[in-house]
Amino acid sequence: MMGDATEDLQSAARQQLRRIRAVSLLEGVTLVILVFVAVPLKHLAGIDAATATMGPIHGTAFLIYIWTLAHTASFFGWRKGEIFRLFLFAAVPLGAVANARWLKHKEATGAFSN
Amino acid sequence: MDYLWLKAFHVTSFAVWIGGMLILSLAVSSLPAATGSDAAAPSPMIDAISRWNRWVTSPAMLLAWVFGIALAAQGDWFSAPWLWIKLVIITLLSALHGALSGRLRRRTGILDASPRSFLRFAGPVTIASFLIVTILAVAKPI
Repeated sequence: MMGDATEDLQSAARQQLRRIRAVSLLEGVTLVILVFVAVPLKHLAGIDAATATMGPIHGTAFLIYIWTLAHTASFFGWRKGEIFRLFLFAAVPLGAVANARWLKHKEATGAFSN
Repeated sequence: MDYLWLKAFHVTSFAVWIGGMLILSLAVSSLPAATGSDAAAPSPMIDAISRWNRWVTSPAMLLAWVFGIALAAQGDWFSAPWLWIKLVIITLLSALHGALSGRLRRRTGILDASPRSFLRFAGPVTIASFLIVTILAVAKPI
C-alpha cells in the first residue's frame, strides 16, 4: 500500500517538474516578447497596442508562474534560497533558460529536499 | 464585455477562490506530519478537498485574475496606486494558495512546526488579505 503511495508520489513529482519547466518557459517567452518586441514597438513606432496587449498576457503568465513555483516548492519542500533563485531568474529576460537548466538538474539529482 | 458584468464575475470568482483557500488552510493544518518522501495514508475528506481545489478553487483564482486584469484595462485603473498595492497582495495570496495546494498534494502536514512556518497562519492571512483587497477596490483610499 505504502509502496503504491510512494510510486504515486514519484509520478506526481516527475509531472510537477515537467509542469514548472513548461510554465517557466511560457513566462520567459512572454517576457522576451514584451521587452524585446512590444516595448520597442511602443516607443519607436508609437504602437501603444503592443504593450497594452502583451502587458496583461505577461502579467497573467507571471501569476501562473508564481503560483506554480509556490506549489512546486511546497510539494518538494525546497529551501528559501532555491525559491528566491527561481523567482529572480524569472524576472530577468532569458533567465527562464537558466531556470530550465536548474530544474533539469534538480530532476536528475532528486527534487525532494525532505 | 460590459464593465459591471465583468465586475460581477470578478467578485464572484474572487469569493469562491477565498472560500476555497479557507477550506484548504484547514485541510493542510489537519494533515499528518511528513515522514521522508513517503505519502501519508489516503483520506476521503482530503481527497474531496483536493478535487474541489483542483476543479473549483484553482479555476476560480484564474478567472479572478483574468476578470480583474480585464476590469483594470477597461476602467483604465493601471495608473491608480491602490491597484498596484492590490496586485502585490493578490500575487502573495496566489503564492500562498500555490503553497497550500502543493502541501495538500504531497499529503503530508507542515514540516516545520516552529513559528516560522507561515502555512500555520494561512487562514488568518487569507482573511486579512481579503479585507485589505476589498477596502482597496471598494473604498479606493489612495
